[in-house]
Amino acid sequence: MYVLCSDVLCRLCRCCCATGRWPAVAGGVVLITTKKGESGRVKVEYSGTLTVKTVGLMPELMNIDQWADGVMTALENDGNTSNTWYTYAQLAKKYKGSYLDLHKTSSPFGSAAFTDVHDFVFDDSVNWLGSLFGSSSSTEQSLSLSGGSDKHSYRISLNYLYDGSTLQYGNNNNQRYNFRANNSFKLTDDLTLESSIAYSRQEQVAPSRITAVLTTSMPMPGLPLTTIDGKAYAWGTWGSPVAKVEEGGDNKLSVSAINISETLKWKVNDWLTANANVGYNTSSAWRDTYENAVTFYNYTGDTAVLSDHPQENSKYTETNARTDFYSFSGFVNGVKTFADKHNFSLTLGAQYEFKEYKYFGVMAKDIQTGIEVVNGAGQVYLSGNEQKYQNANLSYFGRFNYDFMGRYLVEAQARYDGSSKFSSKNRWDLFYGVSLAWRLKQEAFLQNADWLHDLKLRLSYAEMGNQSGISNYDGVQLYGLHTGSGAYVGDNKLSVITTSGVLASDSRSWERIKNYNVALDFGFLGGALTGTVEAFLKQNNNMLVSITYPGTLGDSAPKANAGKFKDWGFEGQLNYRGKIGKVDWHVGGNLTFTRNKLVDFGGTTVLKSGYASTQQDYPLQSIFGLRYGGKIQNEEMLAAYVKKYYPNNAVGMPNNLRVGDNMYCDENGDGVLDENDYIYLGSDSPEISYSFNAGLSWKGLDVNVVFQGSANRFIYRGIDNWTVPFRANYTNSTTASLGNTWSPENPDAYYAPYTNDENINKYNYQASSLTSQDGRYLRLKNVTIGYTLPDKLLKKTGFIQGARVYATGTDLWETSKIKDGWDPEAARQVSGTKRYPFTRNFTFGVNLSF
Amino acid sequence: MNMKLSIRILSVALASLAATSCMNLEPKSEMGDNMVWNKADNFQLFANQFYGWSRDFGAAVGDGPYSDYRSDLVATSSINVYSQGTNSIPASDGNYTSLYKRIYYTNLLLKHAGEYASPQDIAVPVAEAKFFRAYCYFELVQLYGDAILLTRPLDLDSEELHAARNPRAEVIDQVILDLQEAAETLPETASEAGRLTKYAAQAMLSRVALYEGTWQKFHNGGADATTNTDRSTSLLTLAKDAAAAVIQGGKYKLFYNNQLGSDSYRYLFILEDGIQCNPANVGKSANTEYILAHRHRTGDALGTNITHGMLANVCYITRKLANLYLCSDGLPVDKSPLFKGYTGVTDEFQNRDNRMRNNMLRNGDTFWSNDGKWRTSWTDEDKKNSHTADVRSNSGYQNRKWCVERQATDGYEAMDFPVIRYAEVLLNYAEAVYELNGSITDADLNLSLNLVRQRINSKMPKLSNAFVEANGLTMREEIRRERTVELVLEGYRIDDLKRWATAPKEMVQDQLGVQVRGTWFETNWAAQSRPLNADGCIVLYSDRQWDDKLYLYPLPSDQRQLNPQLGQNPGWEN
Repeated sequence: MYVLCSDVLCRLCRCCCATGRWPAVAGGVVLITTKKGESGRVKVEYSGTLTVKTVGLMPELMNIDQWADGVMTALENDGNTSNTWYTYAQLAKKYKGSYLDLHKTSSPFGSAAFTDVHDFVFDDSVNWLGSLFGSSSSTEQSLSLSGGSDKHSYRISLNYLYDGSTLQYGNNNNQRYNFRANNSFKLTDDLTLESSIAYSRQEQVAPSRITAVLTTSMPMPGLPLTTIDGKAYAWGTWGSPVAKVEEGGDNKLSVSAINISETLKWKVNDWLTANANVGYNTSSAWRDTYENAVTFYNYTGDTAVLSDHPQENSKYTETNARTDFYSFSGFVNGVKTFADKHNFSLTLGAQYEFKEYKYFGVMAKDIQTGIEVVNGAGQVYLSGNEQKYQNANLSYFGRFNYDFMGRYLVEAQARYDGSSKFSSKNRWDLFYGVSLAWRLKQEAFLQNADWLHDLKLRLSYAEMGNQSGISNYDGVQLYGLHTGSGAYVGDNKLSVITTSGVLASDSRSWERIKNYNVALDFGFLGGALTGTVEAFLKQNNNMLVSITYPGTLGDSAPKANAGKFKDWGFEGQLNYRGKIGKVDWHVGGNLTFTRNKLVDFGGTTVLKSGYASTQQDYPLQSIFGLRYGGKIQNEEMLAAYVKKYYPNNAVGMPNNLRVGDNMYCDENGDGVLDENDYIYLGSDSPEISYSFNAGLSWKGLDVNVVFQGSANRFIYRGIDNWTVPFRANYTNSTTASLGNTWSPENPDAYYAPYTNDENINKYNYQASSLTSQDGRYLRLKNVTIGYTLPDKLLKKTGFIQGARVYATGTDLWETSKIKDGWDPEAARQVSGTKRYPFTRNFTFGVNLSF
Repeated sequence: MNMKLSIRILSVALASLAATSCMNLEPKSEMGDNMVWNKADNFQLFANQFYGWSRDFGAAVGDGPYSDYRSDLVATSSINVYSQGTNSIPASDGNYTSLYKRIYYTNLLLKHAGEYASPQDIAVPVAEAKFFRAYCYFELVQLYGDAILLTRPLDLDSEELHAARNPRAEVIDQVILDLQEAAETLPETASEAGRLTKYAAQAMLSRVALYEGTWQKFHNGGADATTNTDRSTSLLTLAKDAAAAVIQGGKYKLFYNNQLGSDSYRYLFILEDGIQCNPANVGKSANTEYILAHRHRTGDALGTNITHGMLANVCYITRKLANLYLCSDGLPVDKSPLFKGYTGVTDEFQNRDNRMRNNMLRNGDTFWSNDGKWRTSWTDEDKKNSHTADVRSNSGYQNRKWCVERQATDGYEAMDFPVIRYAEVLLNYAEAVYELNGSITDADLNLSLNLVRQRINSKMPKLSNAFVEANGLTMREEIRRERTVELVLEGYRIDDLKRWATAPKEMVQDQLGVQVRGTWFETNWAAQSRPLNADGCIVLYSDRQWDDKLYLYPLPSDQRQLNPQLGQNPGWEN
C-alpha cells in the first residue's frame, strides 16, 4: 500500500522525500498519520516533478582487441591453442570493424567448427553494457483539495506517477495512479468520525525475457545488437538479447488496491475517551506474461536462422494474487490531572488483525500475439504455485503514563499477543516495557542556565514479540497436491502429493526481542545547537533460526526458537542553526555504529566459504574464507606449496596449479588446508553509517546538501563471469583485470593469469581476504536548490497563494574502495533485477498552492 | 448515554474481540497429516513422486557420478577431475543429501502404510516405495560404500542422526530384501506405461547382486580372482536367479526392426512418439526392450541438450573405446586378419562390429542433426540436405549415439532414457553365471549374451567355449567387452571398473585419440596441435592417477561437521 510523501504528516517526511526510502525500522513500528483538512476556505495544492535519470557507476567491458588478446592468453596459459576459440580470436582482431558473410565467403574453420553460424561479425562499436542502458525520465503530478467547515473537513488528493526505465530496449515503465479522500465529520459534540478511503492502481510493464539482458555473462565484443536492417540477430544458438526484450513479449503487472480506514472517537466525559477503528485493505495483482515466438536472422537479414522460442513453445502466463487485510481495534483512554502537577493517563484496548492471501496461475503454449487474454493452441498448465493462506493476530494492550509537571515522565506498557501461526499451546505471550524521561532543563539548578537550552535524559526498556519468517500453520506436517507436475507416466504427467519440505514444528513460539535504550537530548546556544546521543542494545534470546541437521533427517528442520542474538551500538546527532545577516543556515550530521552477533546458533554450525547468513559468534551475513598469502612467484614456490598442501586439501586446490595462482595460509597450522582455516572476513551490513547535511536559505532561496556514507562493510561478489575474467571463452569480461594480472613484473596483482580451467578459477576466486572487498563509501546523496516566490509577486496574480520551484540532484557523486566498477551499494550477486545500474537523478519540481 | 451503559457496551465490544476461535485457522492450500494418510488413493499420489528419481539423460550424457565422462572411455574439452583421479573433498555433496531426502520420503510412506487399515489396497504404492528405497540405498553404497541405514523416518531428536555408518553388507541386504518384497507385489505388466513391474524389480535385483557379488569377489581376491567368498557366491546366485526370472518371463525382447536392419541399435535410443524419428517410422510402441524408462513427452523441455551435447566432436571418443569393438569375425583388432589397420581414415572401421558404426561417425559419413540439417522426407532425398562428417577435430573419433536426426529445439528431444533395459539383464546373467562357476556353458551364452552380440551382427560367430579356446581369448574378457560395448555412454563403465577392481590398471592409461603418425591424418590434419605419444597417437589427457581411495567418493565436510560419527572413507582422511 503506497502512502505518498505529500500526504504524510510526520517528522520523517524530509528524509523520505530526499532519499525515496523510509528509514529502516526493524522490530519497531512507524506510525503514519495522513494530512487532514482544516476548516476554512478551500485550499488547492499542486506539485509536479520531472526527473531525468542517467546511468551511474557501471564497469567497462573489453573491446575486441583487449578481449581477443585475453582469450588467446588464457588458451596459451592452458596449453590449449588448438582450441577453435584461439583461431576465432585471431580472426576477430583481423576483421575488427567489419564482418564475414558465410553465404559469400567460405568459413575459415571449414567444417571443423562453427558449422551452425551464417556469419562472423566483429562490430567494435557495440558496448553491451553502455548500449543497453541509458538515460530515461519520470514524472510525478499531485493535486489536492482541502477545506471544510466546523462540522466537516476534508482533503482529497490525486496523484500520478510515471517512471521510465534506463533499459533502452523493450517496454519498461511503471505507472501509478492514486486517489485518497480523508474526511472528518463531527457527528455530535462528543462524537467524531474520521474516514480515510484510498485507491491506488499500478500498471507496470517490463520485457518478459528481461533476464536475457540481466545475466552474469555478457556477449563477446563484436556481436551486433541487431541485423544490418534492424531485425533480430542470432549467431548460432545465441540470440541477441536486444531482440529478446524488444520482440519477446511483455510482462504486465496490474495492481489495484483499496484501503479503507474508519475511526470513531467518542468523548465519553471530560476524562474518558473511547476510540474504535475498522480497517480494510484489499489488493489484487494480475500479471500477464507473454513470451512470443521470435525468429532471428543472419547479419545481412536475408535468412532466418533461429527460432527462440519456436511457435510451439511460445507461452502465455496469467497469474493473480489477492491479499485481503482486516483490522479491528478499540481502546479507551482516561486522562486525569491532580493538583495541577500530577498527570495520569491510562489506555486499555484490543486489536485483531486478519490476513488472507490467495494465488493462482495458468499458462498456455502456442499463443497468438496481440491477444491479451490467456490463449494458446498447445498444452495448458497450472502454475504449480497455487496457494491460499490466512493468519491472524489478536492482542490486548495497555499503557500507563505519569508525569510530574512535565519534568519527570514515566510510561509503562504491556501487551498480550497471540498469533495464529503457532500451535495453540504456544500461541500467547506477554510483552512489557517501561520508559523514563527526565527533563533536566526544568530542574531548579539548571532552569536559569542560559548556556543550556535543553537537556533531556531518556531511558527505556521494551519488549517486542516477533513471529515473522515462519510458515503459517504450526503443529502439523503439511502436504501439498501438485497437479500434473510429476514424471511422465501413462498419458500425462503424474499428479503428486509431496511434503512441504519442512518438518512440522510443535514447540516454537514468539521471539522476545528486548530493547534497551538510553538517550540524551541536548540543546545549547539558545537552541541553535541541538543534538542527541543514544546507545542501544537489542537482545533476542529465543530467535527463530533455521538449524541444519545431518542430511539423514530428510526434510529440512523447521525454524526453532534456538538462537540467541545481540545487536548493539550507539548513535549521535548534532545540528546547528545559525543566521548571518539575512541568511539562515544550518549544518548537521549523524553517525551510527552498530554491531551484531549471533551469540548462539542453537545447533551445529558448518563452516563454509562465502556468505553465511547465520554463523555462531559472528554477525549475520558474515563472509568466511581463507587468508590470502600472496601469489606463487616461481616454480620452486609452486612445487613446495603443492607438495605441502595439495594432499587431502578441502579448499578446492587443483593439482594443476600454476605460477601466478593464489597461495592461502594454513591458519591453524595443522598442515592441511581445509574449512578449519577459514577466517572471518567481515559482513556486508555496514557497521558504521553516517550522513551530514548543510544548507542555507536567503530571502526565497534555499539550498540543501546531504552526504551519506558507510564504513566497516565488506562485499564478496562470488564466482561468476563478472568476477573471473575469461571464465568462458565465449563471453566478455570487464576491463578490471587489464594491467592488474600477475606477471613477474607485477607480482602483487589481484588477478591470476587468465585460464578457462574451472577448477583453478574456483580456487583462485573463492572467498578470501583478497576477494572480500572493502565496501566503504561516501556519496553525495542529495543537492537541492529551491526558490519560493515572494508573496508580493504572487499577490499580483491574485489566485496563487504560494509557489516554490526547485531542482534536486540525487546520487550525483560517490567515492568508494570498490574496485570492480559496480556501485558500492550494488547487491553482492550482480545478476537478475539487481543488475539495473545505479542511476543519478536530476529532478525539477514545482509546488503551487491556490 | 450514561456511564454504566457505555461501559457495558465497551466491555461487550472488547469481549467479542476475545472470541479466540478466530485464531484457530486451518491450512487452505495444503493438507495436514490427518487428511493425507487415510485414503488409499493418497498413498498412490504420494508414491507418484518417486518416478522422478530414476536416472535420466543428465546423469549419462552430462557429468555425474555415473557418467562415462568419469571413466576411461570418453573425454571432453575440459579436464574431468574425477576421471583424472584428482577430485578433492567437497564442502557439500548434493548426491548425499538428495538421496537421504528421498529415502526419508519412502520411509514416511512405509511408516504410514504400516498403520493403514487395509494393506491390500495400498500394495502397489508400498512396493513402489520399497523399490525406490532400494534404488536410493544402492546409489549410496555405490558412491560411499558404508552408509547409515534407516528404515523409518527420523525425528529432530533421533539418535540415528548422530550414528556411525552401517557396513555396506547390511545396506545391500536391506536393498535385496526390499527388491524381493517389491517383486512379489508388483504386477507383471505395468498398469500404465512407465510404471514399475515385477520384472523391473527382478532386473534391478540382478544389477545390485551382480555389483556387490563381483565387488566382494574382486576386492577380496584381487582383480584376477577365480574363487568366490561365501558372500559373493550367495550374491552371484541371487543375481543369476533374478536375471533368469526376467528372461523366463518372456515379456521383453531386444529391439530389432527389419527395415532399419543393422541400424536398429542406433535407432533404439532415439525412438520418439508423435513425430517420425527413423526411416521405418516406428515409435515407442515398438520398443520391447526398455524394462524401466524415464519417459519424456514431445513438447516438454528435457533440461539437457542431448544431440547438441553429444554429436560429432563434442564428445571425445578415445582410441581405447574404438579398439574395443570386435571385428566382424568375432576377433579383437589385434588378432583378426580382417582388421584393415589405421592408415586410411576409414580403414579401421572396415569389417567391424556394426555397433561401432552405429555409435561412431566415420569420415565422410552422411549424417543429420537436430538443427542445421535434419531429415524431412526420410528417403534418399534427405542426402541433399545433410552434413558430411569431418573427423579432423579433437580426438579424431566422433560420436553419434543418442543423437536425433529430426528437427528439434535443443533440449526438446523426446526419447526415453533406459533406466533398465533387457540387454543389461542378459549380460548380467552371463556374467553372474561365469563368475559363479568360473565357466559358462554355450547354452547359457546362447540364451543371453549371444542375443545381444548378434542383434545387429547376425553374421558374427557366436561367443562359445570353442571359439574362445581356438582363438586364445579369455571368456571373462569377452563377456566384459560385450558389456562395455553394448552399454557405452549409458552410465555403467566407471562402476564396472570399480567393481571388477580393474580401475587401477585401466584408469591410469593416457586417454588417446587417433593415430596421426603414418596415417591419413598426418598429411590431412595440419591444425592438429595436441602432443603425440610414442606411437604417434594424439594424447588427449595424460598424468592420470589412481589411488585406491578413489573407489569411493569422500564424504562431504558439512555432513562430517554435523555428524562427527560419520567418519570418512579410507584414504580420504587427513
